[in-house]
Amino acid sequence: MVAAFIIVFRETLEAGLIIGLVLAAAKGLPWRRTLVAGGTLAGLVIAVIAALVLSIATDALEAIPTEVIDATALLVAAAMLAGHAAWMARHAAELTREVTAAGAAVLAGERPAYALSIVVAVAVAREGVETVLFLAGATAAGGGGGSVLMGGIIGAVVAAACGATFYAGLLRLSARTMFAISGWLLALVAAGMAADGVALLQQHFDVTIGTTELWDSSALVSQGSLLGRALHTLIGYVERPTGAQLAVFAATLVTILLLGRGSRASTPAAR
Amino acid sequence: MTVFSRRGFFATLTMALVPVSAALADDPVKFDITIKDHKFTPTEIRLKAGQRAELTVINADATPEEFESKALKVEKVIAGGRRVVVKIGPLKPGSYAFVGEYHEDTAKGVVIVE
Repeated sequence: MVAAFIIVFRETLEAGLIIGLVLAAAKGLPWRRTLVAGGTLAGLVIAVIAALVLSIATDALEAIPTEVIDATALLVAAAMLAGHAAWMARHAAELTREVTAAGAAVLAGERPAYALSIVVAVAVAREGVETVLFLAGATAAGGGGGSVLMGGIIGAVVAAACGATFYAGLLRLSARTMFAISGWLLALVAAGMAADGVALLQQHFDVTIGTTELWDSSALVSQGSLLGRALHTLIGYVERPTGAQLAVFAATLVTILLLGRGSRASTPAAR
Repeated sequence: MTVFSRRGFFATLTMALVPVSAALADDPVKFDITIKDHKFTPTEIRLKAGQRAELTVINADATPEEFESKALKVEKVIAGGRRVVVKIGPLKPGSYAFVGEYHEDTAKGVVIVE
């Protein structure tokens, strides 16, 4: 039960943190709870279907290029997040200002709200597949299935509580600080996802350009530890990054900065 | 920490991109790793520095397992009775631990690069 608790907690923490962050960053947006709930539900459905496919897979299906699917999901989510982070940078002033309900609606209409649902769905689906397979396998193995399931459920609840605490913590900040921090975190999450996605594609397609490891900080913060996992999710921390990972990470951040800055200059109304 | 100073950052970035770890033409070396009773066989894989390897991880248990290694940058779930192919490398000399995440206390192994 304790093992199940730890495993499920670890797997679901990432999704919990991302949901908390997205909810905070989308503050003021009508339907944000519905959008996030919809994304979560879609992610869960995808996770269950993927887990079923993986467990009934015949030999032919074992050739499914899961890395490519995973990488595509990561890159799509990264693009959505990047777009949203840049949008937040361009509209920092309006976001911070007390907006009227009508103003908020206008602001929201301009924002690709569904993008956040997709990001949540990707985060939930990626971690969910592993959790569903683990729980299904452990309960099917017989003997203590119930206690494993109980441990898993508690793990998921505690992970969700961590996400909620993170969200509540962000909301305690002043609007200006909250939007600044959540905007930066969204940008870092996007950069980390893009770097992960490219690394997966490199592995799958045998592209060894830039695969030299730059440093090893595993002794400082192990990526397998809870802190390491949280940092990986929120700021893209990698204990042994390759040149290509760092380059993609940096390129994503620079792109977000340019997108966020470029349009601000062209829309002087946004002050 | 110099990575975070602006000049240091770009220097690191250039270094990382330019020399490239020489896209090795060699075919990857192939290994089979079997998971049985939540243990790997073999528990040790030896590679030469800069070599690519293709690991076929066979899960002979009925329960699912997740082949995970932060050091090797691999995280792949394997349903009971299934197998997956994991590509790794090229790597610098050193040891790279991997685990079966669902049974971390018994499912342990290491890739040694020399």
